[in-house]
Amino acid sequence: MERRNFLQSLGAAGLSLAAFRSVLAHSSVTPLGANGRVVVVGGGMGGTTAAKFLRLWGGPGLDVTLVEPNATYFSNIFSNMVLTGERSLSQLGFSYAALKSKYGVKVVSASVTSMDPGAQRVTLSNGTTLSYDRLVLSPGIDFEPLPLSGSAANQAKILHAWQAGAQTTALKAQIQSMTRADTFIITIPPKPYRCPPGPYERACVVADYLKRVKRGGKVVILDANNGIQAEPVNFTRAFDVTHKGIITYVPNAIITGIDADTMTVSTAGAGSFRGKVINAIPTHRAGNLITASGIGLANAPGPNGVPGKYAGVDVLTYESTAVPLVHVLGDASGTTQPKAGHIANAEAKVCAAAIIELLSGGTVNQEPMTNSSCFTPITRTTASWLSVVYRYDPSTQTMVPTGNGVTESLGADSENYSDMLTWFTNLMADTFR
Amino acid sequence: MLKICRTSVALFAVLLLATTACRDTDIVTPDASVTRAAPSPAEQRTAPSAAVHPGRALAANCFQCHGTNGEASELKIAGIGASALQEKFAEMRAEHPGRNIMNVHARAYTHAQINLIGDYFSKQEY
Repeated sequence: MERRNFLQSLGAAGLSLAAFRSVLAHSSVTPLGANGRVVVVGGGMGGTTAAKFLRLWGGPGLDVTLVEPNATYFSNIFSNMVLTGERSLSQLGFSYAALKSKYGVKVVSASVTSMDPGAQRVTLSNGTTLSYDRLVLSPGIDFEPLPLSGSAANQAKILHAWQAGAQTTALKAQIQSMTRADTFIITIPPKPYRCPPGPYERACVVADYLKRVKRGGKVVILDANNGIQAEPVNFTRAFDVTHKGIITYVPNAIITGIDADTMTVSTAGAGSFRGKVINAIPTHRAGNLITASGIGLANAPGPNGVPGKYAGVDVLTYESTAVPLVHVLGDASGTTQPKAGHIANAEAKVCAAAIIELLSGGTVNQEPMTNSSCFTPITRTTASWLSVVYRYDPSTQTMVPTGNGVTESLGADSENYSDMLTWFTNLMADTFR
Repeated sequence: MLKICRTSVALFAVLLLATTACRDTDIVTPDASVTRAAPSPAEQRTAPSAAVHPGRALAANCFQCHGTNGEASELKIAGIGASALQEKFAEMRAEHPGRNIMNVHARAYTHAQINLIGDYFSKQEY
C-alpha cells in the first residue's frame, strides 16, 4: 500500500523508471524495508533505545532481540537524589514491557556467556544460542579494582554506587548514619568516566543534605583529574559559595590506598584523608563483554594511547573497528563523546538507522549528529545544566562539538530544577516507552 | 505513518533528488542470507514508511526532551512546521547561551537542517 503510493507519487512527479531506480540507488529510500536478525545486548540507555528504534524504524522484516538479565533498569540519572532521600530507587525503575508490547522487541532474560563473531552467534546464560546478522553491544562500564586494605567486612563498606541499584540504597544508609561531626569522602577516577558532572553533583547534593538534615558535616572531593571535568564555573561556585565551608575540593588526588579499617584514603601528593563514609568511584573500563570477551573488541586508544579499555567504533554506524558486524554503543565505546545516558540514546538512534540501511541495501547517513544534555541538581531546589551538540567531522572521522560548543548554564536556579524533571521524564520515555 | 506517506511523498521525492544530487554515496549490497520474520500484530503497527524522511535523523536529536516524534505531553513539538521552527530558533539563538539550553541547539543546525527538522515534525501527529 505504502510502496504503491510512493510509486504513484513519483510517477505524478514526472519521473521515469530509470530516474526512480536512480533515486533508490542513491538515496536513503528503503522501499523493501530491512531484513534480518539483530541481537542487542544490554538494556541500559543505549541498548534499549537501539532496540526500540530498530523496530520503530526498521519495519516488519527486522527481528530484534534484547538480551538483558535484569527485569528492571534502575536509572543512574537521578540516583544521587536517592542518596539524599529525595527519590526512592523504585521511582527510578523502568521495565521493558513497552518494548515488547508496543514495538515487538523480543526480550530475553539472560546474559551473554560467549560470542562467536565468525559464526555470527552468541551463547546465553540460559544455554540457548542466538544467530545474528548484526550484533549490538551496550554493556556499559565495569571497574578496575580499588587499592583496598583492611578486613573483608570493612572493605565491603567501601561503595561506588556508580551503577544504580543495591549499592545506591546501601550508600544512602551510610550517609544517613552520619553525624554533624562526620566527613563524607568521594573519590573521582581519572577520565574517562561515566557522567562527567555526576561526582560533583553527588558532592553537592550530599553537602546540601548534611546542611539541611544533619546541621553539620563535611564533604571532601578527591579528584584524580587536574580540575573539575564538567561545568567548571557552576561547580566552582557551588563549592566556594553555595556549599562554602562544607565542600573541600582536592584536584590531582591520585588514590594510592584505601584502609577500610581506619577509613583513611591515601593519595600521591595530596595527603591522607579520614572519613566516616568513603564513596570510592573506581577507574572505569568498558563492560566485560568488551574487555574480557577475548575477541579483540577493546581496541580504542586510551588516554595515553594504550588500547584495551574501550571499543573502537566507526561513529557513522557504531560498528566495531576490530570485529565486523558487531556494534558497540554508549559508555563501552571509545569515542570523542562523553559517557552518559542522554548521549547514549542519541548514539543508539544513529546506530539503529545505520543498521537498517546496512540490512536493506540503503546508504548510511554520512552526516550524523548527536547531542549531550544534562541537568544537575546543586541543592534540593536548584539545578544547573550542560549541553553540547556534535556533528560528524569527515576529516578526523570523529564527532566534534558544533555551534556554541560545550556550554554550561549561567548558574543554578529553580527554573532549571523544574526543567530537569521534565527532561528526565521525557528522556526515559523516549528510551523505554 | 500511513497518512504521512500519502501527503508528503511528492515532497520527499523532490527533497531526495535535491539532497542526493550532491551526495557521494557508497552502495551497500543487501545481505542475501537474511530471512524475513513473520510479522506479528505489534510488527504491523510498526511498519515503516516507504521512504525515510530526510529530516528524521536530525529530528531524532529532539526526541530525548520533546518525546519520540516530538509527541511528549510536556514540551510537545509534533506538528510544528519549518517556518515556525525557524522563528523559534532565531529567538533562541539571540539569547545568551547560558540562559536557555535551547540556544545551544539552535546554534548547532544550519538553516537547511532546521527546515528539514521542521518539515519532519509538521508530519507528526499534533
